Amino acid sequence: MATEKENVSVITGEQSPVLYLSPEWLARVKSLELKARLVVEGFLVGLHRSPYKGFSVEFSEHRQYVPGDDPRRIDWKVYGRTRKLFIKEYRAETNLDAYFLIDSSASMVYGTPVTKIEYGGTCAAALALLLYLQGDRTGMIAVEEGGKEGVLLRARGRRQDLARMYKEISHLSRRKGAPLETLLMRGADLLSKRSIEVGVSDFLSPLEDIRQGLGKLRHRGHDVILLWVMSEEERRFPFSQPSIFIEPESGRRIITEPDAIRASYMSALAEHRKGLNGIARDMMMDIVELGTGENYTATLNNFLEMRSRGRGSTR
Amino acid sequence: MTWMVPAALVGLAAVLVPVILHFLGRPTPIEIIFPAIQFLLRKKVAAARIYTLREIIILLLRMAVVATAILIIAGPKVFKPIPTCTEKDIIARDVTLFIDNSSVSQYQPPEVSSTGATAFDLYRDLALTIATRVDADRTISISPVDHYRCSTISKTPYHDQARAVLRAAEAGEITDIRTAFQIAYGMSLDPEFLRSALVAFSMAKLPEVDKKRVLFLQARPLARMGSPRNYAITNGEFFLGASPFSRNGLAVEVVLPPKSEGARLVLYVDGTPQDAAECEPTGEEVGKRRVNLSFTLPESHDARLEVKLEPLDALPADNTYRAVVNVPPWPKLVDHGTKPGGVIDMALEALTTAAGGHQDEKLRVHVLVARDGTLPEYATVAEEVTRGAGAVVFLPGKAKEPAGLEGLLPADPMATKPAAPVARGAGAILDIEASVTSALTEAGITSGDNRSLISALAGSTLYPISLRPGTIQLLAAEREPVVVERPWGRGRIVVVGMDPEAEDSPFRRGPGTFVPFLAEMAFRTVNWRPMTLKGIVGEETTVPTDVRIAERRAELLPPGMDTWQPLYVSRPVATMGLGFVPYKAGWWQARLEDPGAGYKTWTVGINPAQTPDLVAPDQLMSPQQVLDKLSEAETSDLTGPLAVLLLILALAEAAASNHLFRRAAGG
Repeated sequence: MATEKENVSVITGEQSPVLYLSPEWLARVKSLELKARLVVEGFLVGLHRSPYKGFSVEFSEHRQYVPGDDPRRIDWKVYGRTRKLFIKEYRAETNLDAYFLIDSSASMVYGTPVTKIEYGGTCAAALALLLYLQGDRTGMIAVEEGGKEGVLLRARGRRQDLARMYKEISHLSRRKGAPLETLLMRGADLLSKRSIEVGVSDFLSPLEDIRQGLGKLRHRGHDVILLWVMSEEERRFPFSQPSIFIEPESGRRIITEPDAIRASYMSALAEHRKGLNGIARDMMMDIVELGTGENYTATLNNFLEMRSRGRGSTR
Repeated sequence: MTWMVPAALVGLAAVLVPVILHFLGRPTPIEIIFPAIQFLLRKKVAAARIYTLREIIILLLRMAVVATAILIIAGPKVFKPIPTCTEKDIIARDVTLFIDNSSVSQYQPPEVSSTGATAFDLYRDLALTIATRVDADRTISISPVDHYRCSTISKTPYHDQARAVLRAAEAGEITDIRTAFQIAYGMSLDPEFLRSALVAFSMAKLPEVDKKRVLFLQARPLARMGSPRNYAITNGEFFLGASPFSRNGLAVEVVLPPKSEGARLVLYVDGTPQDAAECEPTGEEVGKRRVNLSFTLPESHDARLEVKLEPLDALPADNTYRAVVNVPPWPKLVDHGTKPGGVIDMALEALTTAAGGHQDEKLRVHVLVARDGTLPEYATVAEEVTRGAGAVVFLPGKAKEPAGLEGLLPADPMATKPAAPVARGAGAILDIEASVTSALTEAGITSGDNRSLISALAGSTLYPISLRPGTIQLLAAEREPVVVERPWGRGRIVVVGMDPEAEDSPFRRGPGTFVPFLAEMAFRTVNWRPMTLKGIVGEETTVPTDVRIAERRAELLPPGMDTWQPLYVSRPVATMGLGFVPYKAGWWQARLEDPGAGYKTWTVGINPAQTPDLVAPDQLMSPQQVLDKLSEAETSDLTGPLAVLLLILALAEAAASNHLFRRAAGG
C-alpha cells in the first residue's frame, strides 16, 4: 500500500496545478487514470492549505502536544477545560466500500468545455484514486437504456480493479444510459451491504422520481453523496439568438428567443436547485453542485472540506 | 394641405426598404441540443409571441421613421381657407356649346374673308377658346345643331374614335374634357373629317341640362354664303351644301374658267324651280363666284334639292351639272326630338329646358315664342316673372297679345308707347322710345343706319353687356326695335322684337343670328356674370370685351407694376378681345377705353393653381393680398411637429431594440 502511495508523484515548481487541472487543459489528456492522478496530485499539492483529514474519517483519541505538531490540530476546547495542550488524533474507517453510481443518460453527453459525463467521470475517478490511496475499496454501477444491462463493478481494493473502473467510466459516454431514477433503483437493488454511494448525475429528472430513488438507497442504510454536474450552458443560459432547443432524450423542440425567456429559465433552475437541496437535507445526504467549467482541484477540495465539516451541500 | 416639394413624395416608396431588410435580415433560428429543456417549458408560448410582436413593432417604427423623414423633406403646409364667393356668385359650372354647323355656317364674314375663314371656323376657334378656359372638373357638351346630319352620316374610323371618346366622357371616365375636345377639334381641322367629328360630338347626349346651367354659344350673323374650302366647283364640278333645317337657302360657289361668259344656276325642289341666279363673266383668270339660292322647304314630306349649272358660253346639253340633296320628311326629325321650325326652334327648346329647369326660381327663364301671331301662355309666364323669374319674349313681326293683356307689350316697342296701364305686376313700362333713342345715341348709332345696327347686332356675343339696373337698354335695333329689357315684378322681361330669319328681316341672309341673341338675353335675365378669367403663364390670354376694340385705347397692368402699359391690338376688329401673353403668375388687369365712361377693366388670374378660383368680382384680391394669404400658411408649417414626431419614433425604436420588450417579457 505504501508503495502505491509513493508512486503518486507530486507536481511542484512554478507550474500551477490550478491552471493545469482546468477542464479545458485536462480534456487534452486521453487516459482517465492519468486524469485522476493529476487531479489527486494537484489536490495533494494544495493540501497544506486545507484541513483535510481523509475521505472518511473518524475521531480516535487525544494525545499530548509535542513541539513539531501542527498547531491547528490542537483541541482548544480541552485546553479551555484543562489548561493543557492536546492533539486530536483521527483514524480512517476500516473496510469502507464506496460505489459510484454514474448517470450515463443522453442528457449527460452535453456541455462545454467537457461534457457532463466526462467531468463527472473524472471527478469519480479522482475520488476513487483517493479512496484507493487510503486503502478503501471502490466499485461502480451504470445502467444502460432499458435498465436491464449495465456495468456493475463490485468494490475491490486492488490496483487492477481501479484500472478496470477507469476503463468502464471512459466507455460510458459511448453507451446510451438509463434515466437517473432507473439507475438509483438498480443501485438500491444491487447493493445490500451498507456502503458509501456517490451519485454522479445532472439530476434533471423530476424531483419526485429523484426523491423516490434516493429514498430507496437511504432506506438500505447507505451513506449517499450526490455530485450534481451541470454544464455551463445550463447554469448560465448564455444564448441570445433565436433558437430551437431540442431535448436529447425525448426529442422535444421549443422555438423561442433566449433573451425573452432567460429570466424564467433561471427562476425554474433555482426552484429545481432548492428542491434538490431539500431532498438531500431531508435524507441526510451530502450534495455538491459541479460546473463543467470549474477547476477539478477546487471542486475536489470543496467537496472534501464539506465532508470534514459534516453533511450539507456546497457549490 | 399642400407640399413644398411634391416630388419628394415619390420617396415614400422608401418605406419598403425596412420591409425588405426585415425579411432579408430576419435571423434563422439555430438548433441547440439542450437537456434542461424542462426549465423552458413554462414560458415558451409567451416568449414566441413577444418575439414576433417586437419584430413587427420595430418594423413599423422603422417604416414610420422613413415615411416621416420623407414627409419632412416634402414640406407639408396647411393653408387656411381662402374666402370664396357664395353660391349665387358662382357662374355656370357645366357648359354646353351649341355650334351651328348648318350650311349657313359656311358664310365668309367680310371681316375675315381675306383669310378664307368661314363662320364655322370662327365658331370653332371661339369654342376652343372657351373650352380651354373651362376648368377640367367641369363638363362640356358640344351639340351641333345639324341633327339631321348626325343621324345619316356615314361611319368612319374617325367617327368611331371620336364617339368612343365622347362615350367615355358621358360615362365619366374622362376627367379632362379638354383632351376629348382637342381630339375632336384636331379631327375637325381636316375638312374631310370635319363632319364626322361634329357628328361624333352630336352623338354625345346632351348632359342633363335641367340640372345645370348652360352657356350658349352660337354663330354671329353672317353676310355671305359659300366657302371655297368646302364647297367649290373644280374642273366642271360643284358641290352644294344645304341644311334641312334651314328654310331659306343654300350657298353655291362656282369656279369658272378664264374668259367665261358666266353661268346660270337654277335650284329645283322636287323638280320644281325655286330660284335662279347668274354668275358674272370672268376675265383672263379663273373666276370664283358665289351664288345664294333661296327656297321654301316643305315640312310634311321629304324633298329633293337639285341645282343645275348652265355655262352661258356653251351648249346647255353638253355642260349641265347637277347636285342633289335629299331631305328627309319632318316626322323623322321629330323622332329625333326636333320639331319643325329649324334651328331656332331647337335652340329655343334647349334654352327653355336649360334655363327653366333650374331649381333656383330667381334664375328661371321662360322663353315665349309667338307663332301664328299669338303669344302662348303669356299669362302664366307673367305670373312667374312677377315672382322673380325672367322671361324672354319673342315677337316676330306683329304678334297678337293675349286677350286681356293688350298693350302690355308694345308690338313696336321703339315707336309705340304702352296703350294701357300695366295690368299685372309691380313694374311700369317706361318710355321705350326715349330709352331706345338714348341708348342708340349713347352707342353712337343712328336709327337709320342699318349697317351700323347690323354690325352692332353682329357684335353681340355671349359676353354680357353691362346693364344698368332698372332701365331699359337697347342692344341693337333695326327699323323696328329688336330687343328691349325691363324690370317686371321681381324679375325681368326681355323682348326680342324681330325674327332675324323672318322674311323681311334684315338678317334674312344670316339665319343663326337669332340664337346668340336669345341666349344673351337669357343669360342676362338669369343674372349671368362672367367667370373670373384665368390664364397660364406663357400662353396667349384673351380678355373678351363686350365692345369692339377698334379705335380704342387698350392697356395692361401686369402684377407688381404701378403703371398701365399700352397694349397693341393686333386682332381683327370683328374679334372682340384683348389678347396678351402673361409672363408671370398673379393678377393681371386689362382695360379698354370706354368713351364717356373712362375705362372698362377686367381682372385676369394667371396660373389658376396659384390664384383662388371662383372669386366673386367684388372679392378679388390683389397680388399682394394673395401673397399675404399664402404667407399666412407659413404659420401652419408642419415640418417642426413632424421633426419632433420623427425624434420620438427614433427613440421608441431604440427603446424597443434594447430593454423595453425584455421588461415586457418579465426580465
